[in-house]
Amino acid sequence: MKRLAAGLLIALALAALAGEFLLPARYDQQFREETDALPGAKHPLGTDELGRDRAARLLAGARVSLLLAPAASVLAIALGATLGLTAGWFGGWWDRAVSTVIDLMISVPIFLVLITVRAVLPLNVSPVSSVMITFLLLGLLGWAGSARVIRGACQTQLNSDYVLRALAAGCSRTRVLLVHLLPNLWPVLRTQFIVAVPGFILDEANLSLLGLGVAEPLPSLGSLLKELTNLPTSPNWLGLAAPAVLLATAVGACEFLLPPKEGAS
Amino acid sequence: MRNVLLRRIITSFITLALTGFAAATLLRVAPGFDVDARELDSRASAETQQQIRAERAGESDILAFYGRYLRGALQGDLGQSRTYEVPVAGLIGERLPVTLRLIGLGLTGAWTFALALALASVVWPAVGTGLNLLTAGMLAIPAGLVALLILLSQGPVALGLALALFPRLFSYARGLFQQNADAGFALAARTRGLASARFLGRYVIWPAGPSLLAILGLSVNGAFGGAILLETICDLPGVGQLALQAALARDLPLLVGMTLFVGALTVSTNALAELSAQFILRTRSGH
Repeated sequence: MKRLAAGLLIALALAALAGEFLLPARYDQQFREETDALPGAKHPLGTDELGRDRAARLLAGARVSLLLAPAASVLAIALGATLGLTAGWFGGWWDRAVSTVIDLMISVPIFLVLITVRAVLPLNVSPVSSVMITFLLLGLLGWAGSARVIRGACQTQLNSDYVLRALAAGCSRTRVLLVHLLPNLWPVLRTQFIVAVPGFILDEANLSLLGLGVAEPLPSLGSLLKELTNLPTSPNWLGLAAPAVLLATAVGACEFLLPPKEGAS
Repeated sequence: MRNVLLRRIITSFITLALTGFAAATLLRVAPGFDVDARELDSRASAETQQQIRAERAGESDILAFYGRYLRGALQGDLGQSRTYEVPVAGLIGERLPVTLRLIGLGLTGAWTFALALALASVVWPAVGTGLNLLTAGMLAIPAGLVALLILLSQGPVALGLALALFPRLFSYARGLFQQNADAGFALAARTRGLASARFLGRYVIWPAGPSLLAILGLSVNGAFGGAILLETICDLPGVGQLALQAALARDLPLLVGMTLFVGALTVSTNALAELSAQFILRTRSGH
């Protein structure tokens, strides 16, 4: 199942990357004579009300969501690992300060924090800037959960044999942290990364649905979902539902990549 | 226990104060904060312009603003909304019943489904496999999409919240129940021929109580996040919708009031759930 999920994600990422070459149109190219066209040979998913090819927009949206969510996740895990590891390893006032900030971040609904921070930043920015702002915010605000897990994992390793031996052999605390402890926490970091990616894809989708995510004309899987409101009046249900199906498939595939224990609990 | 309670109360107050301060600071440093669209109105008299500037001046020193604000908040005054020009406390109070009803119904539905199905999946493992696939699929759907589907089908908004919260709660509950059912003491009880209902109640559900209580506290956070989306997309005039409007309008008093209010709600629920869990654990261990 894991291999199938990984294969599916790789195929989606490749299709998203090759979208420009696979389809004859760009995501922002307008076919003014063919607005709201139904799926056909020229436009596999039809066109939207501005005459833009839905398939091209879907692949461009997938490219934004599927490539930038992992980037945001790397940022969040890097922050979480730096704070969690140093808090768990050095302890004392630094541990208390980091734990307080983690508690603060976790005690307030993260979505409220996200919309507040996103709303105070300029909304009237270029599409590329809106993408960067959205995913940077997700990375910068989404580290608390992983920091808590990494801090806990670090504390459980403190009294393990290899750490005690390294310290007894005269290794400095920084060297033990970077050379011995960090590689042993790699599986935890990897799991946290896999947990964060689907979460960020979903957060971006939710932000875009409220108009706080990726700006037009650049699409993302989330911003394309808004068109579902036309479902009752449009005969092109395939073109309208495709972003939701692709989003659910990508996030579902990420969920299946989780180790069984994390997935169940 | 008294020390734990005292420490939790103090931590909650500090967390709450820091949350409000962070929100106020964020708004103060946001680009365009010093600009007021009313100043651009050529019809406004010099006196009005002066008044607008005086209003702004009171908010420019963030420490002074927050200190004044906290003193007022302790007396129940959360300030005046700049967008709606009415007291913030009144605005929140007006919309609170809608949100509380939504969150209450959503959480009740989500927890009922989650606990019942988690238990069913422990009793009938074949059902569990199907439910795991179902929840994996549901976890892949953003809450905003659930809200859109509820809007399109004109279904009850609380059902949308329950559906958005259910999969994660189910995963936690199922993990806990399965862990208890597989534990040595539970297997020993089962081999001695304990009746199924008693086995489930005493060895599967009861030991999971403290952990489930802790998750209940956290699920209130998730419910509020979901309420923002559902209320906005389904146009329900609740506190969640107000939070988004406050953020978009950069209404500082309203936003700080909202953050403090939501923070107080979630922090106190978390603290209550955590303390209840600790109380149960202590009672069980006889300390």
